[in-house]
Amino acid sequence: MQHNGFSMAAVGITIVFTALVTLSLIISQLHKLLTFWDNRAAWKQKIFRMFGPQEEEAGPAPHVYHVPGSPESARQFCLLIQATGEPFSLPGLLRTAEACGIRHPYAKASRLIEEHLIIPDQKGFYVWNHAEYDRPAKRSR
Amino acid sequence: MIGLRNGADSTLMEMFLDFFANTGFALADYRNFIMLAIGVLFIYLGIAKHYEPLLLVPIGFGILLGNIPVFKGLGLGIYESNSVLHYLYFGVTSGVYPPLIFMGIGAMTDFSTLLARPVLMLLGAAAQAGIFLTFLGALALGFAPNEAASIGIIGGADGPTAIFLTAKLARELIGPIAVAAYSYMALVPVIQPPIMRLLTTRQERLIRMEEPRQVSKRAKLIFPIIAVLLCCFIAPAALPLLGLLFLGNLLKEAVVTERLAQAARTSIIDSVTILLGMTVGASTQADVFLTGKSIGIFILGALSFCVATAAGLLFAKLMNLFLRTKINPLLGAAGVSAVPDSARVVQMVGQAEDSTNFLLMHAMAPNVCGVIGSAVGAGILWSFMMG
Amino acid sequence: MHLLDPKEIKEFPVFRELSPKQWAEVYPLLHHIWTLEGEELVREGERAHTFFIILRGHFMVHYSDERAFTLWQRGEIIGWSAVIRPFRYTANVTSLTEGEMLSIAGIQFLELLQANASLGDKLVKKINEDIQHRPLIT
Repeated sequence: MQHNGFSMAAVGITIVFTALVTLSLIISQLHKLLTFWDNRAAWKQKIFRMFGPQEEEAGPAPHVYHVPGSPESARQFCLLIQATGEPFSLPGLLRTAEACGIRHPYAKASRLIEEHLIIPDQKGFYVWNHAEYDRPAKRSR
Repeated sequence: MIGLRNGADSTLMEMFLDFFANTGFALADYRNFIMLAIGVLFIYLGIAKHYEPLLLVPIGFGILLGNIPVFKGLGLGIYESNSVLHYLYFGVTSGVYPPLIFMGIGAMTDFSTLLARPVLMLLGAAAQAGIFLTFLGALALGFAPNEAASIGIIGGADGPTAIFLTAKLARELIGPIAVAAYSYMALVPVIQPPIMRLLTTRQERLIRMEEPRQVSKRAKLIFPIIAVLLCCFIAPAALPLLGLLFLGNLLKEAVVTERLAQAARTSIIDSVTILLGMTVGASTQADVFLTGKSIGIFILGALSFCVATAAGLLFAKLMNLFLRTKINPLLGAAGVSAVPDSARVVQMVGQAEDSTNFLLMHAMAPNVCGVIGSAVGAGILWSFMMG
Repeated sequence: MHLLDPKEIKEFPVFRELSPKQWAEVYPLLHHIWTLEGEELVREGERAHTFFIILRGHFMVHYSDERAFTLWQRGEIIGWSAVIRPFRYTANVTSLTEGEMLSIAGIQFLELLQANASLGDKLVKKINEDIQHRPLIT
């Protein structure tokens, strides 16, 4: 029983360690995977340029968000607004965003208002600008 | 029962004596009163001293309920199959309550400190050595393997996990093990600091941690899914606990299910905590609690916390031999998953050396990882005992 | 006091038509303040303690019925109730972003306007013009 007990303890701690080490390795690479996924269009273009036929320079690059986290903020708020419904109360939306753990909800909302993704309905409430959000240039996230 | 005699023969005095013979006063012995005193002590500690009040108060009151002597056969006691307490106790014996509590814990827990610095997970893993070393110690003291496993899990410093595993392996020990686990969790600020000072140098305690990187919302959403799949593939017996833990966390992180997360971390966890605490307390009766085994459980429980703390600290020092950017080894003590008390202890000990060194946020990473590690450890022990 | 060029502040709509003498009376009352994201500047119903002028930042004006609008133009004013009866804020104002503002203590500003009729008249007229263009007036 003593010998069995040592084996169980050794195997047990090894399995716990293995599980948590594996999880930590996966998590440590997760943000890189997500960055790759966000920029997959750019990666595809890069690969295509390396191996594909040379093309003439196209027009100016489409407008993309250059503010870190901005595409994600738009997504977060879009989801939130879908849940709360439109038109929505801006202070109510901010309270909900805070409760949901969205960081810097006020600054993000400000950015979305400046970029006309959140627009007033002239009655004191706001709506999500689906037309602006669905524009193709901004889909390259 | 009051005997129904021929009306002509029964006297008033005899009826009173019969009635009195069935009251608690007549049925009690000195052990009942000792347990009632322990119940009152727990209530006092919870209310007056604020030692884990959300648990000690229901447990203490449950001890009172469980140790009031009652006439067997009327369906009153917790161990009688048709009693109300027995039905409520079903959630403990079947292992239903602990996963529901874990769901609430998941809905309250922010894993972003863990995601920002995954290497700190190893400290949470190292602290789980306390579980297995205590298991060995319990075997050496003569406990049966299933009992030793239940005692060992005290080292995971996780009440629901300890109750879950004990309900599966050694149901009769739920009372003393739960009491030991929660008592030592409340005593973490007393147990850990001396060990932390003993095993670290002043220079090590002064190490400052780097600012963690930002963690995206998407990473926080993906983490519970990856974690539950990986951990349950490796240790399937941990499924009830980890499954609900990560479900609660996913509900919290997914913006669209905030209502469900709110329910999980408020009404559900509070209701289950009341029922779990009360019934665990009621099951803690004199014939199990006031025995030599309980003394062994309490001694081993204290040792398990000490060993877990030491294991985390020493592993952190070992990691520093290989890391370019050193980590403060005090964080190893936070691998003991008494959330958030052990993280607060790390903060307190760190600030005693340097009042501007804020370690709490960093300590939460191994602290929450310890919850995962102890659940995996419980699953492994359960599967060993089933095999 | 504040970090801006006085000539620049004098160009703000609310101060534009003040004479040099009147401006010299107002200018010393100005303070430069910084606001943080999410900071609550004023609350609906409370005594109007401060008059603000936006320098930088985005601010949300919201009411108890959940309606709201935002202000971000340099020179826009917040807290006009400091000088207009009943001297209680009619809305809540929260800073959406970090920002900078000029502030004037309500009591001092009111005393100045009450002591100087011409100055008071010009400023209140400018304040009314400003708030007439606001989306929601209660």
